[in-house]
Amino acid sequence: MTTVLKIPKAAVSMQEGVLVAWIVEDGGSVKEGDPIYTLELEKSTMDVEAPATGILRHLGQQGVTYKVGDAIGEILSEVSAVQNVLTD
Amino acid sequence: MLGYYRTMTRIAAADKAIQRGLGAGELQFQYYPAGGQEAIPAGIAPLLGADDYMVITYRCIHDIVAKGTPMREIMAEMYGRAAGTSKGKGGPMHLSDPHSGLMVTSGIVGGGVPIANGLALAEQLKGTNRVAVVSFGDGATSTGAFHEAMNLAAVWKLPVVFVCQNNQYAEYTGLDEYTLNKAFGTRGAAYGMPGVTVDGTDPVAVHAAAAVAIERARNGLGPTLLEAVCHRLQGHAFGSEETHMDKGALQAARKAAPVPRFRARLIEEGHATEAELARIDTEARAEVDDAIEFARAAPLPAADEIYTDVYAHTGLIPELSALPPAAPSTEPAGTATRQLTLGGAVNEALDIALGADKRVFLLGEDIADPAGGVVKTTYGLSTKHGRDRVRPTPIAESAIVGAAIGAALAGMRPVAEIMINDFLEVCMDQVANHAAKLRYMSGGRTSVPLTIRTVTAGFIGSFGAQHSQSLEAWLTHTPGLKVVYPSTPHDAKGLLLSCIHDDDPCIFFEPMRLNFTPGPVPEGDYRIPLGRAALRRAGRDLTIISYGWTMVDSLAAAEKLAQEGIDAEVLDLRTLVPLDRAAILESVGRTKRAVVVHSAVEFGGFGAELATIIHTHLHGDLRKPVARVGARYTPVPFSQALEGLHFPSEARILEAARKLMK
Repeated sequence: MTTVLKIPKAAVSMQEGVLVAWIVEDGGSVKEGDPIYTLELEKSTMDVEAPATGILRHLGQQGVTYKVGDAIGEILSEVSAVQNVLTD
Repeated sequence: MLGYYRTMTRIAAADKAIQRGLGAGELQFQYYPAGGQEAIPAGIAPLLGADDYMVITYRCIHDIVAKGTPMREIMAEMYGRAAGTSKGKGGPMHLSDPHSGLMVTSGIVGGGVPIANGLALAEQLKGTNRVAVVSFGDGATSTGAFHEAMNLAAVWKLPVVFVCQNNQYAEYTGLDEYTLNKAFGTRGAAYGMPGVTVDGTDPVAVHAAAAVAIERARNGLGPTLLEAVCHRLQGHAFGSEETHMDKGALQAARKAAPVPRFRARLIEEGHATEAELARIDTEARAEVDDAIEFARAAPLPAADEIYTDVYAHTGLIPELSALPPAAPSTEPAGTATRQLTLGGAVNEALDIALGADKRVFLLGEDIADPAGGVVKTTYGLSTKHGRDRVRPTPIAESAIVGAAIGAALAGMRPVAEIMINDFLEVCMDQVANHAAKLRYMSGGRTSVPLTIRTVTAGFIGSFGAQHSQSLEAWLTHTPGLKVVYPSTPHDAKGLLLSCIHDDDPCIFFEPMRLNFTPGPVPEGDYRIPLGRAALRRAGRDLTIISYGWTMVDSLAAAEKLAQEGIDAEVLDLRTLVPLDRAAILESVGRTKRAVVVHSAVEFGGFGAELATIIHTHLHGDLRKPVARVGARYTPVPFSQALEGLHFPSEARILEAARKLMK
């Protein structure tokens, strides 16, 4: 199973946010609840936590501004990660 | 002990799952996490049955899960699905689930507190031993609604428990900055009720304190204020920064977070083994995962759901072309009539309703004898029907309307009096945010069959700017309310009886100017259907459309016009929502000219809506654009010399009509 990571709506007025930095590298393992990337809002930053356990795949670039709802990454559960390897 | 833990774990699992969805961008809404407050409802819920009520506030997932709403329905509502508690129309701040006794979740801080009183009052009147528990944050203690509700509950000894979940912050503002009395439990004494403070991070302590309060309420001894002290473990909303929070205190609170701490205690004290608790954890996670899967797969609400649950009947919505169903009128033909004033007719309607239906009761300022209302409209009713059913209240409009809303939710048919129309502004949150919206926000699971009677005191002289307005436009602009505005004693009686037996909230205007002129009123119970205009005078040349006390001037103007050879038709709308569009368009379709008259300020008034309806549908047929005659754009002046200029008059109606005929 794949969990898509979209830019969250983390404030009432938020329309977009900057993906400041990935905390976990592309292809790294993450556990649910681990901080995985830093998101910059208008006046603050937040470390977004992994909503699932698995392998993190980056889709978004550091330093780029994304709209709320834009997909910037995904977390592949180990089963789907294996499947991806098999089909590659 | 394990029961508390199970509830706390289910709460934490649901709270986390929602935040996972928000973090992944799958869900997008403002969410107010419950971390730190799990123990409070976990301690209280076992003391309540499904037929005991809860009213809660928007930081709510803990209260909802504990009260027993099915997890699938909760998550489906979070995902905006048709299978949600409110068919996706309520959302995370407005869940309700009457099956489990969760009657209202209010998004307005303090707004739910007066409503809990009404639920409790209904059960007190029915003679059951059910109780209402209302939960709110410490921030709510600063609101007027909280004060009004506490005072009313105490004086009426209502079976209600006020649970203040003191999480140390009112949104982004700490206790030190907003109050000098931070010991909220001590505030009970200010109202003559017990006030108790308890450790809100310990479900056992909460349970013990709540048991006393609930027992007291069940035994008819009245309300209790229960302060449960805890600490919010995160910022105000999901994603919000924590810079406004005391870092040290937050860290300490996180170290002592209620769920893991209680878990450790269970093992330490030998109540459970690690394996038993791990199984509870797994079950909670599985329940939430299943609910999320269910929610993701569930269909979205169908497009036509947008209009359902505004009213009991969808056809009443003004912008739909469908006309209100022609309810059979039970206007009596050939019954004996007497001459009564409008106030006398209202008194008779209330007397009939009180006599015929045990669910009907009245509440309002000064309504009981010997006062019998400030204009004597309710005189004699408390003597005949008792002060339990004709209840004088404190001067507390939010408490009055809130109590009426709660009682209506619990199946009663309350008639609240807001003495003067201008005072509705004092309690508009209860009227517009709660009475009007609860049916919709609950996806039709609850309804508010209440009537609010209110006097408009314009044009009788000397009441000035704060006692003379006619605020129907505020109300017609609020979907969910019905707005009824009679102009004769006959209509007042028949329309009020319809309002009282209607399944939606009705605002009933009583123009004081009409209180001095008697008119024929039939005996007995008769109902005039809402949404039916009355043709007062047939004519060929133009239509004067009005309602309420300006009908007097409209009819007088029509007679004057007749002397000038202008044959005016006069239409009395009687109800504004639902609106009899068919009668308006039929009449103006024939006369091709219209003057719209009302006592409210012309700019932004209901006449603008009437004019637009006519222009839209009869554009090509009209000889002249619709004329409007309303009050001038000023507060109502005191001096009668100026008040006469402010309000519409026969002279201004004549002037408008003559212009149309040129």
